[in-house]
Amino acid sequence: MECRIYTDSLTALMDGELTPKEEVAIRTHLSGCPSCHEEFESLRYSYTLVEKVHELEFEPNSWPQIQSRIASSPRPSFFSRLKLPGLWIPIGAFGALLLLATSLMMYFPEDNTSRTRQAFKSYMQERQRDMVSRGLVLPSDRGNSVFVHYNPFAEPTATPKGNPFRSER
Amino acid sequence: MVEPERLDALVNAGKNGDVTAFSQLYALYGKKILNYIFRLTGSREEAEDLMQDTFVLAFRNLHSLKENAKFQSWLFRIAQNNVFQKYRGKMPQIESIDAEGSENPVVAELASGSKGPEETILSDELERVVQRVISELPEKYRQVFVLSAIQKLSYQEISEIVGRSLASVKSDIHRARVEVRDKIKEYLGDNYGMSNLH
Repeated sequence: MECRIYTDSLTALMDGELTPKEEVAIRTHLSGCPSCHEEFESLRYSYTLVEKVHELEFEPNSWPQIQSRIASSPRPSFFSRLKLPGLWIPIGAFGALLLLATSLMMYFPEDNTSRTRQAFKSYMQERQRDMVSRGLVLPSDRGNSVFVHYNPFAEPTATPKGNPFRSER
Repeated sequence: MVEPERLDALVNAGKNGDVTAFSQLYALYGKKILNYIFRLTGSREEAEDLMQDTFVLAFRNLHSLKENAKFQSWLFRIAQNNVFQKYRGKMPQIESIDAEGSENPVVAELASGSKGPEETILSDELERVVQRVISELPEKYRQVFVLSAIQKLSYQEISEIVGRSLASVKSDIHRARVEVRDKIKEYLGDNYGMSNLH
């Protein structure tokens, strides 16, 4: 099992991909382990055979053909040369959403919800003034707020009619 | 090995459309790319065509290369993608070795010692055996083996080219190396290791 750890790194050793510490460890093991040393020599021989394999000769005179293809190919467009980083994508999406929201707000300046809210507020303020004038509640110290204080000493009276939010029977 | 400053200057010039500078990059990396594609396809003609495609594509897209120092890995990746595209995602398979036993000329040559220990060049037949063994490797191993054993790229560069982790590349290169060794050994039999080539 211990030998397996070293033999798995023999290729990395020969390729110069080990750290100095790892290299020392594996070479120390190789010097004391005949079977691992044999494996190392066997692999090294195959390295030698592979290194001797001829490569294809390269002819730089084929460059004119490439040059003519480059000359005939379209140049990269301005936008493709901008090298847009990844950050531009979320920025663009956010900008598009913002533009859409602004356009919608301009097209629909007031929606039904805000109208309903305003009508309710007016109704409540009217009720408040009515109740204050009849002495049912005490005026609020919050300016125009609809908040009022309940008057526990007032005589009970009937609720005024005209609730716009309740359908009449 | 190209000096980093020179590489940087050539790539920058190429990005600005300097074809002469790009021709120097072609002279520096053309052989590597040609041989890499040749090992993947097994055809010189195909390799030359795909190498040309690789350099044309590289020039057109040079502006997209963020780190000039990674030009080599980037170029290999283009070459590899060209091969995959050509063969629709599968690397071509080359026929296997059919010769066996001691009757083959390589074994006879090694056994007779007709090529002396001083011989530093592989005989044609032995070279063919090694070439075949490489071409028989499974696709996954062949790719990393060629980049490591033939092109002498670092594991880090190979990892960037093939898009796999460093640990996976290291493991695959080792397996490929062992497989190449075993197949050559199988072919040469007891004569494996007899030729003093190292």
